[in-house]
Amino acid sequence: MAMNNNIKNNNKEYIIIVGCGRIGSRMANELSQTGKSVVVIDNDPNAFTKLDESFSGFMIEGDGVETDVLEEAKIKRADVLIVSTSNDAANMMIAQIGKNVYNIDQVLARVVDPDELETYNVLEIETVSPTLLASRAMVEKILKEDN
Amino acid sequence: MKIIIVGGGKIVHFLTKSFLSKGYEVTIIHEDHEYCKKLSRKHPKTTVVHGKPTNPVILEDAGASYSDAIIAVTLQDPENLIVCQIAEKMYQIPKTFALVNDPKNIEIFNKLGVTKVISTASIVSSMIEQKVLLEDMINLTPIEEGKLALVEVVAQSEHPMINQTLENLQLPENSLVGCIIRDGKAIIPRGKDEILTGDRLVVLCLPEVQSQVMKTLLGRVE
Repeated sequence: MAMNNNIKNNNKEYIIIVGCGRIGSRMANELSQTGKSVVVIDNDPNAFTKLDESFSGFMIEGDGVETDVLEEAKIKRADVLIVSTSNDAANMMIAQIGKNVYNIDQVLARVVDPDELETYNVLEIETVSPTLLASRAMVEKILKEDN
Repeated sequence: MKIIIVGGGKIVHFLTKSFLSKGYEVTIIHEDHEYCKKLSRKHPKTTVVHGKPTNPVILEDAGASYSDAIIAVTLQDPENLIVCQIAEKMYQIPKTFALVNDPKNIEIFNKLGVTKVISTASIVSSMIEQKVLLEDMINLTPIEEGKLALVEVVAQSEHPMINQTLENLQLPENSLVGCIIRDGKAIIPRGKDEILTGDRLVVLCLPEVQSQVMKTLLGRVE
């Protein structure tokens, strides 16, 4: 996998990713390649087939909303929690558990429906919205070609 | 009183009917368009809003800014949690109630600031446990999520409480016989009142002394 050269290594060593979809699995593969300890959680064991053969982290089958599952992933030790399930409400709940119950330094959530972005903001959850990023990028390209 | 209900199923019909009969104004939010149509046909006096209840715009449409209470009873705990949080943080709705489907989530909801939770699983299981333990207890209502128990017992001839005055019974602290129902009449008893066969006693007590109370009245715990 092509690695971005401007990614610098830092001391965020232990990373938990909830949701092993297209985005979650890609992040897991890349982070694992940079030498991070990665744990991926998904309630569908088939989702883990998206992980590279070289992926050296752990996989946990379970619902990330359940604290038992998060504890199994040793959430208390995590430096970063990435929440990337396909359900916004679940993402918000898990992100808040990470932030407010386990005091994880960095919690990042992926936004499924951009209409829910404001909800994430009100709950003070740091987000990335793939839909907004993609649409902005496309609009930019179109407008550039116009000039 | 204006109430927003989020969710579907029988519980929503029941709540809606009950609130309407009390004269409250009810708005229901649901994600499924067909279901919304059905709801508005079934409850013509309510407002039905179609959309994602976790979206602030939808809550706004439902009149969140001037509502007195919101009740989230979907089958998804995360949704119930977020709805209540947004309602409180953005619209300052004074009363928010969240149904907790998985009792393990009660603690998490509390930690995230949603304190008024209704866990049907816990309520039902504790009621069943109590009923299984004590057949003579015909009714048990937990108050304030089980912080106080309201128990109804029927006095039968073999019970040690029969022909005893309440004074003599020496019920434990934190318990009280609040009412005796005798021949269809309610008596608010004093210490000198005797318990007769066939009386129904309405007892208030804290859960920790409940088994002791039952032992005193019925002579056994199980």
